[in-house]
Amino acid sequence: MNSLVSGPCFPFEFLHAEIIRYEKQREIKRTDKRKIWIEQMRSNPQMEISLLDEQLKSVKQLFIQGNAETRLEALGYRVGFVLVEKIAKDLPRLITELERMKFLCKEFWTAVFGRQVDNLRTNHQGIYVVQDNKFFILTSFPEGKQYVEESAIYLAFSCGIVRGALYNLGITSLVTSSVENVPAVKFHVHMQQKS
Amino acid sequence: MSKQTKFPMGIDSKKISGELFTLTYGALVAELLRDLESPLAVNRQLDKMGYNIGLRLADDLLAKNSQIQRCTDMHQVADVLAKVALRSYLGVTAQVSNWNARNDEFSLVLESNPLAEFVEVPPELAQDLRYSQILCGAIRGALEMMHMEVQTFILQEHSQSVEIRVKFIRILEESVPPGDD
Repeated sequence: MNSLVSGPCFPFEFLHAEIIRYEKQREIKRTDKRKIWIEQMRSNPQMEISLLDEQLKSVKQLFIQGNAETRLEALGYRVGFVLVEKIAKDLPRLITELERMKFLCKEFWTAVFGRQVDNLRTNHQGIYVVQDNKFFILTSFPEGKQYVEESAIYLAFSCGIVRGALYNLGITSLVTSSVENVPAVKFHVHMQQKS
Repeated sequence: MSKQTKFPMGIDSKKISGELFTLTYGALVAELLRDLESPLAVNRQLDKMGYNIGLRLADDLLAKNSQIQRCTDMHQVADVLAKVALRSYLGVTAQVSNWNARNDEFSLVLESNPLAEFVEVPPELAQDLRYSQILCGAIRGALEMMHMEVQTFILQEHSQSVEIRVKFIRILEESVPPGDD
């Protein structure tokens, strides 16, 4: 395949993998620091007033900031929020919730993830399951059940993309993913309110 | 993600994949600025991430471009970087310029930097932050896979253009494991 003919292949997967590595390493460091902090608290229960500000800062850093998956999802949210505007800007207005979900599954999914979804199901009460049998992030994993657990963190960013896109389409949602066989992924979309 | 799909209203899948990459990079830089104590620390982290990516991209580039021959001097290296590598992964070519007298140091000038599309760096950060530092790391990592040690840094970075300086240091020899002769 001559890349000059087909156009550039932006190295998104490599960048995505490096971001995951960074978040994982950061979480390990934070866990270690948290243990040290707790041990210090145990050995020094009489806190001087003058150290309170510093301690509050430590508490914020060590306990309140989210874990790796939460942070990856938040990054993806920002990306999805902007992308959907670019993809939808020349389309006619999407009126109903179902129209927006269909747009997500066809135009948006093709533009961002490289293909249409394979299946969209709903209980008509605000829960949708979007199934993609060859989700692009996982296609470089070995197929089957071996890496089902490890795959979860590789989907957090994409869950955020979907949630951000839906939010900018006027739908507040909670998006989670599940994998039974790599590379097939189910995205579970729970609408938070009728739009 | 490289499939070119035709679908309604002229949505350009290739353009969107570039924007996915650019926006993801922007979100990463914003996050690092929040996490780390200084723009200089952000530069170091971006360079490290770029280095790791470059190690892998070198294999990918050679696999996809059989016309790339072994480079015997830095002019050939510069040509491959500017005309093939950057074109393959960022969709732009660079100009090679500002060679030094020994022909072991040059600049890559990107007049339109795809990483910096949609980006405005606040004035208080512009002095120290090298927004596109990941490119320096990627070049260094890729050339290390080709047994070349180089130094890379951003000489100038403006809103849409960037000049990356590449300086050859030495050829990396294969090291023989201890105990082997």
